[in-house]
Amino acid sequence: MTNGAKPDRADVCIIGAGASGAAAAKVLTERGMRVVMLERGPWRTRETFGGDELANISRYNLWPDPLLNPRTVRDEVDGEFRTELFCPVPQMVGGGTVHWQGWLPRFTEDDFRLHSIVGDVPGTTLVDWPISYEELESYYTQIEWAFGVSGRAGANRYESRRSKDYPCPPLPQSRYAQKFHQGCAKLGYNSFPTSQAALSQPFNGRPATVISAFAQQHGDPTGTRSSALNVFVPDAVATGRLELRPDAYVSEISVDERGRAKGAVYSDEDGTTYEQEADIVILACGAVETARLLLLSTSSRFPNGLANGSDLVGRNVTFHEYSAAVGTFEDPMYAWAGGGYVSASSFEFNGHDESRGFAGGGHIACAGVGIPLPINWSLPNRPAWGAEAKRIDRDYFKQHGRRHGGP
Amino acid sequence: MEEARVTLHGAPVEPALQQTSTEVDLGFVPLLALHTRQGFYADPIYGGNRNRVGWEVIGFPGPASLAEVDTGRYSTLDYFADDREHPGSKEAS
Repeated sequence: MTNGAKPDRADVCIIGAGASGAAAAKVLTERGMRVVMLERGPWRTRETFGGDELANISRYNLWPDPLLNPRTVRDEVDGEFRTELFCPVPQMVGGGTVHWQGWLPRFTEDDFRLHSIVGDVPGTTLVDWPISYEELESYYTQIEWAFGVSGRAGANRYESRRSKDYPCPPLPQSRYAQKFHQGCAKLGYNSFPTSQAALSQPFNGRPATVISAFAQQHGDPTGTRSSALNVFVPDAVATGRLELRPDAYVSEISVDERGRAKGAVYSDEDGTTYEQEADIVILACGAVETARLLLLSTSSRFPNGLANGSDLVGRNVTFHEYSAAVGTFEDPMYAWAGGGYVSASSFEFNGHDESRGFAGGGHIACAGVGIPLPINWSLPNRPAWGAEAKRIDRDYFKQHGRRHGGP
Repeated sequence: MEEARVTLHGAPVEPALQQTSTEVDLGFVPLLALHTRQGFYADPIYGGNRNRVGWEVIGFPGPASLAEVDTGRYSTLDYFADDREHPGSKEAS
């Protein structure tokens, strides 16, 4: 391991160039601060993305390679761990927003105060958020307008107060969204066009988002989706005050003699190690990697890692957990249209209801099953090969859909 | 290893949602079956889905070429609902 010359001190060092890191970079550089952003993955351009399902979905063009970069999971504190693709979002400039279709309904007031509503839940560490929806409302609005989100204010009956409409009207109605609305209407549930990080019409000098089939888990070769890579990173770069260093793998947050964060120790592509110092260090690596970095940053003063007096860092992490009900329909759903996630939603079951026997609730929406493209679409119990597998592909590829519930 | 689940007909069953499973978990025959599937349904540039036959069999209107996707000319809007507006738009506006 070689040590490189110490880079110039920055006002702010941001670790992770995904959704939150890039948003912070934009805001801080636009306010005049000099920011260094370190990203473990590459800085890819849209020419490296495209409509190849085999490369993107089956060969992990965007996801971490499960052999080179495995994760382990265990269900109990003392349980056995297993290796699996847990939370496999892209690790690159833009982070998860590179492969997402960006469902962006807001949390409700009650989502921030679940403990106040539910009370103590035995065996859990449930608490309210330290911030309220009201405190965040203006930031939700700023993000929606800076990023470019399509949706319809007031369509979600359970949405909390909003100070401003969405910048763009909803994306067009897919057939699966229409089916979802019809089902909800029949059951007396409120449903709404899912607010989404895409442009239904030109906005802010950007063209409308292309409605391709190769969207979910595919990068965007057209540069028209609202992603951190397409929007916030270029905004921050345009200030001339951002230095974005891709392929910079941070292994530790360094602390000064008072025990305050003073910088980040990272290695570049060649394995040369540097320490980037800054007045402010922002961790924006997502729930898994941020916790991991805090836990890796041990010292005699902080033997359990940083910010971990509670011993809760890294515990109780979930990746957006969801369950699904899968159906086939008489009429074609064309679940690949729009990539399977240009959707409709309901918050009818988002709030807590004691009679259901569990705490909290979730957002319900419709989508294609898995990745609704020829290789990777699926139906439960479809055989992997043989005449029956072919029959199901022929008869149901066009007609499947999924109802998708989760926070 | 993925547990060997089988259908009534004896063929192995695919996991319903494959987000956490990988090809290295598969044995030789399931891997062969999966790669055959990939060849038949992948973009025609790979040579297995010749003249888009795989896509035609299942009714997938894939792009004429990958360049169509890259340039944004490929759109699936024709396969959206006839009524492009979500219900309730008139009351809301």
